[in-house]
Amino acid sequence: MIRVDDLSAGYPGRPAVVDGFTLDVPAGTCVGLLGPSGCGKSTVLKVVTGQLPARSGTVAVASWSPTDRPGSRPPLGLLGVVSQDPVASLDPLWTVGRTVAEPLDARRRATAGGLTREERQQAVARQLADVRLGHLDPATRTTALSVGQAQRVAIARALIAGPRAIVADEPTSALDPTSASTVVRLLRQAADGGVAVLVVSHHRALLESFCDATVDMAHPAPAASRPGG
Amino acid sequence: MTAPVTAGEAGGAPLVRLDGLDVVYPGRRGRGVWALRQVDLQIGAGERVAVVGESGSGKTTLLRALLGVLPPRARVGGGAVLCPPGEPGREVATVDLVGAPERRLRAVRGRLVGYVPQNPQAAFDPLRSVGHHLREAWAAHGRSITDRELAAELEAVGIAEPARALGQRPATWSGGMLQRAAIVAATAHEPPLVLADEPTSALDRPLARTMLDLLRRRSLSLVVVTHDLDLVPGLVDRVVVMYAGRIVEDRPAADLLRHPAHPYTAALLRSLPRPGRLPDDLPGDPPPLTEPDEGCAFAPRCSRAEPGCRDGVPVLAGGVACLLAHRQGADAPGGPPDKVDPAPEAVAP
Repeated sequence: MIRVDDLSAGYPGRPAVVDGFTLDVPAGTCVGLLGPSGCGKSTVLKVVTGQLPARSGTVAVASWSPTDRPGSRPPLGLLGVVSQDPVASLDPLWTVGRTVAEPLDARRRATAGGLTREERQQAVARQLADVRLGHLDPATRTTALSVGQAQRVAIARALIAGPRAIVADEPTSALDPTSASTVVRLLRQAADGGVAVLVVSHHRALLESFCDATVDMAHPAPAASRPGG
Repeated sequence: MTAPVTAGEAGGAPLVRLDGLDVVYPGRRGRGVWALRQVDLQIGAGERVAVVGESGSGKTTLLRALLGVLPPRARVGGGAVLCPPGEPGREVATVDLVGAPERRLRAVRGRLVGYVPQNPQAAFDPLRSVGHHLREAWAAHGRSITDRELAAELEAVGIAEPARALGQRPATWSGGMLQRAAIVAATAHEPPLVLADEPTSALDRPLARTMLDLLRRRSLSLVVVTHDLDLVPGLVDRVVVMYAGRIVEDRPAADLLRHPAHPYTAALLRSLPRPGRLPDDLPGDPPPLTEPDEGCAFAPRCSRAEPGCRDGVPVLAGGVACLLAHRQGADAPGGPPDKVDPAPEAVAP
């Protein structure tokens, strides 16, 4: 589902951060990208999401390829993104309901069709329940959320439009252990539901607790691991 | 405002003491947010203590209280005192961390306490060299240091080419390098007590371990707030677990990590990731801190809660604030509070 082949990428005026990097994340699996700060983990994610052009090599998420069509955006609903800083990733003026429904609203604007108001509300309620926030009023402002709740809202937003793939950049580094375990379980649940999940972290034990495979970018031979619980 | 204590008592003279401390931040519609409730804590000379708990549990407010920098708008009840160490047997005046005039507080606090911030990038002025900051740390305590001595200090904490690095601005240093410099600055005057607020949250794992080891080496007594419970073994003597503004467990690190007495501590340990095993989920969220608590705040999330758990707020006794653990401890002949719900493969100290 997510395919990276012989990728070279970096920033203007500097040597390549990533060179000759290859990765495959099949549908229904979770792959962890591991390595110390500065080894190029986030750079790979930026190329996969189309935020940074590749210098060479190919990248594809399902049928969309940012290397075939440089500068293009992923089709709506194809790719969900979860960032490192959940609070900064949510608009402080929006409610939880509007935030979670945003991918549905974007699709409706693009296609001039879509869900009725009631269906939209039901989809938001279902998605919030899925990320263990069923008790939360969708009218709650995003500023009233704890950091752990904010990350679960961000995951609900990433999942609501039924993406084929999710990429998450250090999704637990700002969270306490109990919030982090919830996020890890939600990402695993998404993979078990058929989504291709690519997660970046510098925490080996965390990745090996829920990923089907981890790739250490400092020593790029894939090491298999399997969640047991 | 001040009360005499006798230094050199058995068990290590306390350096800092919180007695039934309540801290309430003003909230919306006149409803206060209870950041700390009835917190009793004593840090003795030579003790190293980790404070752990979920976001919003009161860890940072606890550290602020120990530093004497609670926001002026906070309503504070109970006591918080610094106890400057004196000669054995000699009476020394304690300093009230809540009510003392800032001038009096500054004179004592600066000498007694070093502080390592969470985000070293934010703590360094981007327009000044790193060397400037470090010299300031010495000057603040009426000392001076030569560039050669300063370079040696940096070299001792693993900064390469320290003489050249001293002239650089913070922006050219990595987060790990800046955190090392922040630790050097906080410990420049060899304070009896070092406080650190999540000093490793911006660092990757191997670096976090290195940084905590460095902090341990350079401090006599240490209070470190951290989310990285898996990095605690070998770092501290005692672990304080906070939940919803209260201390729910406060016991020696080796005992607590092997046999957590409070169900929340056990849940916290089970949520740590281990290869090949999904971390356990702790359902629910902590309660809102705007209401007075009636009963155990953890009871709604506790798999072992009984109706009696909601009847009264459990007090910290034998290092744990849990009615079930107290009962189990009382049932066990002569035994301290035992494990309630052991963490599988609990963290090896």
